[in-house]
Amino acid sequence: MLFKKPQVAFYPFMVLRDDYKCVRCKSCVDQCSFDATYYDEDLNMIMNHHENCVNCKRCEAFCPTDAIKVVKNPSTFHPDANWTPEAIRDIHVQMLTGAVILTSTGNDKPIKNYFDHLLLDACQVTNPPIDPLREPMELKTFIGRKTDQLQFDSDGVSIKTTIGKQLELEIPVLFSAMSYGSINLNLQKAMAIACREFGTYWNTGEGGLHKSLREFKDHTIVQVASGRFGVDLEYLETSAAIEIKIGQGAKPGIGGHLPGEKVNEGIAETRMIPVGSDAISPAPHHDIYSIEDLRQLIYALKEATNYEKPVFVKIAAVHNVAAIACGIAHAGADAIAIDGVRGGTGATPKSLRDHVGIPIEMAIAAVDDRLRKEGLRNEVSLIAAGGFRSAVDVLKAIALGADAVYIGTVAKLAAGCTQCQQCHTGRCAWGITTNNPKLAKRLNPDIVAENLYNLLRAWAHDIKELLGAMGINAIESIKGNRLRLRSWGLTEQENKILGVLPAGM
Amino acid sequence: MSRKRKLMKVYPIEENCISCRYCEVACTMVHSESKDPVKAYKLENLLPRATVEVKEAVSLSLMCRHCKHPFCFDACISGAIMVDENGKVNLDEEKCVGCWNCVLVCPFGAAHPMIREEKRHSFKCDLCGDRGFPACVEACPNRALIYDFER
Amino acid sequence: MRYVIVGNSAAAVGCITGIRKVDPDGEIVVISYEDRCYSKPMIADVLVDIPEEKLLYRDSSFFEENGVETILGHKAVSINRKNKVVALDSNELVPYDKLLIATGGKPFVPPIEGSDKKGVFTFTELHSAISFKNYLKENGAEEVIVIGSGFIGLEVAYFLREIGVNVRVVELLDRVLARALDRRGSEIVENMLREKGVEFIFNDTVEEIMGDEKVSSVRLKSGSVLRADAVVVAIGVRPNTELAQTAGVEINKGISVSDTMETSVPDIFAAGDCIECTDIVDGQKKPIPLFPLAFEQGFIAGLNMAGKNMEYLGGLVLNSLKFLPVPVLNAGVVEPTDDSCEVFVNDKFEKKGFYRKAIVKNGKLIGFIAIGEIDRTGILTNLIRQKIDVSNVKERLVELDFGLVDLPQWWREEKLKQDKTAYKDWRAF
Repeated sequence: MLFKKPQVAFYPFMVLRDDYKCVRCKSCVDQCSFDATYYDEDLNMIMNHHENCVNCKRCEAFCPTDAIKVVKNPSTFHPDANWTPEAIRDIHVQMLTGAVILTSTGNDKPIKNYFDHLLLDACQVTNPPIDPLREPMELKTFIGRKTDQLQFDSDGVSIKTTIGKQLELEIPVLFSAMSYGSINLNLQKAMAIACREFGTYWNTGEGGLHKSLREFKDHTIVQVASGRFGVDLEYLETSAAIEIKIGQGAKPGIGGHLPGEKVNEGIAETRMIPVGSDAISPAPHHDIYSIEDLRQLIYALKEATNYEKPVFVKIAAVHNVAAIACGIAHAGADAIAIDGVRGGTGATPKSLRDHVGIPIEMAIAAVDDRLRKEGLRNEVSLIAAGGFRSAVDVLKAIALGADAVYIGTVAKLAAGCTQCQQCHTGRCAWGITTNNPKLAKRLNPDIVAENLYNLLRAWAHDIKELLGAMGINAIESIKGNRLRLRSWGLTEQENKILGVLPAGM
Repeated sequence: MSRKRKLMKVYPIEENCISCRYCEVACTMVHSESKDPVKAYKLENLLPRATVEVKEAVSLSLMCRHCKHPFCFDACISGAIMVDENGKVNLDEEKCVGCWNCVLVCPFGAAHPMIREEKRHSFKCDLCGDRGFPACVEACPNRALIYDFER
Repeated sequence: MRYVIVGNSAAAVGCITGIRKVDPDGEIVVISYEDRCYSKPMIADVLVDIPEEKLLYRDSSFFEENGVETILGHKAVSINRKNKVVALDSNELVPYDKLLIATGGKPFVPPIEGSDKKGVFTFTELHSAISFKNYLKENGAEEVIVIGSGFIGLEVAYFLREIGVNVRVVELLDRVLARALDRRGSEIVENMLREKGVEFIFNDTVEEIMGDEKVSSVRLKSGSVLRADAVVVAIGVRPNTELAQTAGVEINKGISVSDTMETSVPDIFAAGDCIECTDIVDGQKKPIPLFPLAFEQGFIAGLNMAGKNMEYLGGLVLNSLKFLPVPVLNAGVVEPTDDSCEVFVNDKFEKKGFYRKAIVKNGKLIGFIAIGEIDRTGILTNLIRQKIDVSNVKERLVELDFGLVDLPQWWREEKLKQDKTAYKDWRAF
């Protein structure tokens, strides 16, 4: 390819166009944000720079005559189980750039998904299933510190015990932290609307809370991360809960970096930094080097907000996650959020995304076990995150011991995302992970809010059906109830960690 | 005073327009004989009555505004452009002689010339008269066009 | 209320439309010596046998639906302002409460020797166009001389070629449409007409029309004598103010009217080619004999006659060459008026078939030419009309994709969202 390095010719995707069906409306030209499509006036034809195509499928979706298909480049390297095209291309990229390969979204490697190896129980003959369309079914979930025992008044009826502030969820699903900057305001607004309508919570991420979203205060979890962007007293108070972010499943142990060119006026104001300056979240919190330090921050936040806001701590699922979770519980957190190895991100080195951390299923089981053993399980809620795909995944996670689940990628998918893994470029053609005004307007918050609401509604129905089949009429009854799970195709060791019996036992 | 107008027309919302051209193609299609978008462009040589304009982040779809005072009506030398009792501006393509005065005076650029060997006339948005509901509004994927009462 | 309109073309129809917007019941009387309401700009089409019904601008149903009484075939000869009556050539007196003079223009015929011979025609009225056509047929005319290369002259020349008649156009200046187009535009139009077979004689004029009873040849100032089976004089039109003079209204280059289209005599209004109107580009009062302006003026006059106060925005030059296969449009001025003007040109006529030129003065567009690709040029016309500042987008004015996105956001807010599209909303800023 003229004026290009030879390796550029080995691009992974191609745009196929049925030229007869093409009416030259130029929609694709305008929709492509990766310079892969252009119109040649002299030829009166739409042409492609295939090497720029990222398979986001925006052109395909918006071709009014269905003339476009984005396909894998049929020209590939010699088949080789070790030297896969990806491995070869990564070498090419690094030898040309000398840089870490940046990517986004979640781990795309075939790491065993344990949810796919877990099966749910159902009632037959000896215990009756429940029909969720005829009988009440309770999905309401409370996140926050519970009490170990109840004390009653002398009348024996009125409860004397008081418990701290709880988040009340109509479905055990929350939207996970995605910052303004990594995504745009439109998606945040869509999530906020959906949460208000359905009765759950969204999370600001570490980018602060834009003033236009402050009306959604009662459904907003505000995050305090290592960069402390956008944090002030008003921010902390404009919330339903506060989350201290220690780590993230897609990039455990490293910080974040929003490049200065993405820091526009809105982001700058919200993050409380100058326009155009890099927003760097350090790898550690520089004031947290121990559980005691963490406790100080938790209580500083509680003090600041008059003990009215539950405080969460979010960590990535790493090898000693159970011990850390116990520490967090001891430190006084009201909830622990654990993000597994499949967790998504707006930008991360590929090596970290694909090779650091442990699966969330293992982490839930290990943490739940350990908290129970230490007698701490009631002290703290457990929120699982990282790669949840369906209501079934959610239910299995709860059966393993989680209280609720964070979903992020699902929200993006509901907004149109096609998982092309280009979030870090800021050129998202679907207007999700970009703040380019031309692209961001592609995401209509009202439409996406409706999509998200529908999705939550559908998942709620799904969960109710599954619970009904198990003869359970409240989500509370399946929490940590691993007896209602069986595994298939797992080793004895895996079953032991997950705390489940193999199918047939 | 004059009769009360009761007109619904298409209003573009530029904040929502994603310049996907669905409005254009839908318009061309529903105004074709074949009702097929490819044939409409390639066999029937039709053009859209809505125009998508793009300049950096700003984009919008634009079609006849059915002005309260239509300059095209003033300028039409053939009597092809008429305003009905509700204020809808109609252009009779059969009657049009192609003088292009409407093209020259429309402040929105919404009257377009059709200049072909076999036909020479102006054309513009007819609010999908026969169809009952404007195709562009129905096709818009991002709610950037709404069909609403005259403001 | 009794409204009387003298004339039955664009201004008259505009006036009826305007009156009926305000007053659904008042009596309206239209007086015209012509027998129908046809479209003046289309009379040359008679040469190529345009169907009769296509010539009609408004058919009888328009007059019926609007409750208009028509007195056709009679000429209004005088106005008595005191008694408020119009006298017809039939001696009938037509009383009025409000009168509109819409007597249009009359062709200008310079004093050429022999111009009274048979076979010399002007081209502003249907009957003269029809008699010209009949004359050609009856006399088997093969060679026609057209004097003047304005819109009418060129259109006649073009249609004559269409029916196989040889045409020579004699023009005093050195190019066609010298008043409407710039040199490049003239060249493009001239080439198209030459391809069609029209011949041009520039920098010359007809000094004598020769022949016995009928014209047979013309002698040019340069001395040459050309065969002429017929001659068309198409030099221009002048306001027809004969009737207005009888009422004693103030007349300059045309009938002088106020912003509400009222003449110096109360209750007498005037509109169309017979008046002088304010050119919004230079602010000068002058006759601008154009169809769209006549309608607009008639409409405004109608509103005011019926009691709804509305001021006329003023006119501007708007031309469209409708007969050529390639459309040619222009508005406002086409040449810089002084050194402070900036000129922008996008000439791809040879390569892509279009030519655009825009003239900007003090940050405002004051005129443009569009040839070939003309879609959406109305946006430019409006920029002239509304005097919108275009300093930031002046280079874009001549691009084919110039559009509303190039206009300030407030404009789109006002015109699209708030739908401010009534007449008064288009006032200059």
